[in-house]
Amino acid sequence: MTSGRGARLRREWGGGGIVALVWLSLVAVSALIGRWLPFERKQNLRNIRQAPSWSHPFGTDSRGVDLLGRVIDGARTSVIVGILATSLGLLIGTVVGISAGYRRGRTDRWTVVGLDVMSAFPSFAAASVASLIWGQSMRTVVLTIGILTVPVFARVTRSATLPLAERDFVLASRMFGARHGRVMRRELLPNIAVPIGSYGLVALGIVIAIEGALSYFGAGLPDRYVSWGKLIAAGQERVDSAPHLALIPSAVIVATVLALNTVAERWQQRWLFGGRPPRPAPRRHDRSPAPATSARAADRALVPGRRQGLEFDNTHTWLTTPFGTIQAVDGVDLRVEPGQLVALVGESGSGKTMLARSALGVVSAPVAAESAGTIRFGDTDLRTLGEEGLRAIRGRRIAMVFQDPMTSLDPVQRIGRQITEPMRLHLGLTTAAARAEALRLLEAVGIPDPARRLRAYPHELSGGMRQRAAIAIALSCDPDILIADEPTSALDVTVQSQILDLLDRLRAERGLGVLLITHDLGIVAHRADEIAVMYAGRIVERGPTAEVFAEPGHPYTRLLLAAVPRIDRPGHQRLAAISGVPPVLLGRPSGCAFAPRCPVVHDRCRTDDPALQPTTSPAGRAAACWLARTTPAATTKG
Amino acid sequence: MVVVVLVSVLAYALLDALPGSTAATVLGDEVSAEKIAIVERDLNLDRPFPVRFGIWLGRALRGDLGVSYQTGEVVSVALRQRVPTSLELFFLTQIVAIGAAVPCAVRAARREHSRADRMLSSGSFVAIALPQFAFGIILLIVFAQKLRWFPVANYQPLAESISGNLRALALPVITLATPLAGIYFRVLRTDLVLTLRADHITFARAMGLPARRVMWGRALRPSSLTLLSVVGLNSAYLLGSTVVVESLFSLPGLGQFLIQGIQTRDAVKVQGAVLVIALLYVLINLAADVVISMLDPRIRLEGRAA
Repeated sequence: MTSGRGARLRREWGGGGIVALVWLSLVAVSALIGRWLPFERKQNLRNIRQAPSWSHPFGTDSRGVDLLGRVIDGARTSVIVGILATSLGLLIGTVVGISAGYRRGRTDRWTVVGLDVMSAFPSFAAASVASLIWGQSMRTVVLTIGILTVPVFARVTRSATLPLAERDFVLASRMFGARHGRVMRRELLPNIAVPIGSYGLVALGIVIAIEGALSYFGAGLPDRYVSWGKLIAAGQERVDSAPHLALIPSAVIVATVLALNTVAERWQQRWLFGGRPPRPAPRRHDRSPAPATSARAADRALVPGRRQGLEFDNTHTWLTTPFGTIQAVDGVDLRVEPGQLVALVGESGSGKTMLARSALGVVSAPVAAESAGTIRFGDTDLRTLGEEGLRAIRGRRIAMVFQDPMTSLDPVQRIGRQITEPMRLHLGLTTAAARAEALRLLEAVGIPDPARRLRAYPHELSGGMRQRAAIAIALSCDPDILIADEPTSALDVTVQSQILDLLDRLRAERGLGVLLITHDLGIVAHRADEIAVMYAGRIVERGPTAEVFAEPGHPYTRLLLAAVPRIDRPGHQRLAAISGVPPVLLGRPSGCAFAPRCPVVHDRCRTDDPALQPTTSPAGRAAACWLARTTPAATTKG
Repeated sequence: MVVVVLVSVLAYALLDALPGSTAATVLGDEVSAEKIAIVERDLNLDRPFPVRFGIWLGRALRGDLGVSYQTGEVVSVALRQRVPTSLELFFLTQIVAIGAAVPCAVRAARREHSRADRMLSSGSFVAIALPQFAFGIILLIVFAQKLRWFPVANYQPLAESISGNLRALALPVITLATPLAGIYFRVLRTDLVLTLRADHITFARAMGLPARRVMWGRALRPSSLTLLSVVGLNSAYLLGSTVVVESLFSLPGLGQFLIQGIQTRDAVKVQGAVLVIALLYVLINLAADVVISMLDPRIRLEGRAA
């Protein structure tokens, strides 16, 4: 029972959090009952400035009084000042912050100016001045430090309120005519309580430290109080003979402040994550099973000047996430020849992008990825090359273009630099030569006035121009294969076809092989040589485009085709939507992955997983469906 | 700008609020009635507050911050001698803090949740939480007063001895830079981690750029924008803590001047020091904005349009 609770405590607070809680409890107990603890408080001149020992764990001070007792007495003052001043700052700051963040407009602007003024005024100096004006007293110290913490609380509250004030539930209650005061109290306050509260703990630490500094410089509490700051000041006078007198109270302040911060952090995390934040496994870079060969060896293996094809052979890719391992690519075979355009089609999440990125080993950062199988480029298995060897391939022999041209270019570098850098790196061109080549490339992808565009930043170009620029970068080193990951999904229809025409031209002129990833069957109908349909990490159908379109072998392909709007169909005919969603691939269910959504599912589909196999008819095609094997003609036409 | 004006009003008003006759306050304790009368005329204490303030501000704008009645120091001259020390402390601290934070953040962001990342992140947590005053005292006692590695209260100007100057500034800079470095590390690490997930980074990697080049050439710059505004924001905080730390380590800077003024109730000194500190605060924030706009072409464009 107790151990169960202990384990829970440990899980929620962590080792450091528990130490911090214990320390704070000690401080709290000292503050509450310290004055009744039996410590020698009389001076004892035979016993002055002793180093720490068993009888006096913190040593004794200049009057021979036990320092531990003094520190415990000081806790009371420091904690009282801290709590009072923090509460004051929290109260005023929260009110100011909420109303600024909620009302916005002029209130907000003036509040921010006011807070800036308060911050510009050196706070410690302000506190000292105040103690001069109103004299040294507990009240002055609490009031001034309290008011000095207002700006930080107000800022924290304001920035916590700003996004909330726009949220639906707040807007809704405003719309129903709730009074502003009520909205702030009932809707906003509960939602910002934890960040403000945990910031309160942090501020408590700051206040305790400020009080220490004030008392140290003689501008804090009057002499009849014992606080940690006063103990440091007293100890500092005797620092040569007894440094522990100043060191120990300083360390106590440091420890208390650290403990307050730790508890505040854990509290906020408990609130955010319901425990300590999930810790995904670190990303592993080495995805190569064999020792990495050098870039030079990679180059030798590849015949220069001759165009090579890209072939996936039983490729698998797993992603490690905090929630488990996802099988993103599950045994894919796919081939792109030079000059060919292969379309890889499927819904979002079907593994298309992961497959493409696996080829170059650039699965993006938040996940850890591992692959297995073979990815052949020419005669070289890319997976055995290692990071260095792969780098010689990336951009040089196989290049990639991404979906969103708004995000795929570096926002703070000029286009010119972004396009010339790979050429200088891979081809060893001089800056001038790379620039000349860049001009030619921009012109080739249809960017008017290329000299001016070279000096432009991405945000100065339209979406279509950016995608052209990205393609120009991808093509800059004259790669054999271009993997285009939904290159036109973010663009409007006219630009879409211009980009696709461009890819067609490059195939014809340069013998470029293109792997075009898309979810839009419409755009590949007349361009792709071959089409591969991907579902749940696998290829479920593959074949020459015209044939697949004419006679889809897999029910999923059929549904995808039915979802494409076509001019030759009457407008009143409804477009089919595929019901359900693709499975989350945390654990593969038994049977065909498409079975739960399949309109023609039968018993066998739920238990046995169909492999991708050549269909008996039509020939030259492959589909992963039981129906495509048994009675192909009947089902595909029905 | 509004900030400077308001702060100067505040600085002026604060001393007006000192108990007892202002003239008596600025003069110190035992003075004759005639002297008080002279001072009162001198400070225009017979005029209403806005007029008095206007005259003071007018003089201040011409660089005349008055003369301390207690020590006879010309405040503007004294401040001019002290500003370089404070500025040196300020810039050294920022350089050390940024210089420590950037490589650590790059190292931590390279592999999120790796051991190095976790260690650096918890280190930064401790650094941020350290109360400067108590931390400074510990450094002072241990490294200057006990171990004697650094001088105690023996400041040498930069012009006299570079090494002596740096030795005197080492502990104050460490005291001030540690929490800042922690803050900067956190901000930059978070932004780097996000930037490294961005498409343009994957694109750069897919174009075969080396990891080092991607990190320093492509990821760092777009990630450093938040860091820069945070550096600007923390400048105020840094100026404030400079006051404490200068006094703690007996550095003849603005902060120490201010504290001395406060402790001897020297109104003229305090007003001058507060005004200069507020001015520095605004200038530093302005400089931060300029640097940010230089690094981010998108902001530069907006500025030109406006």
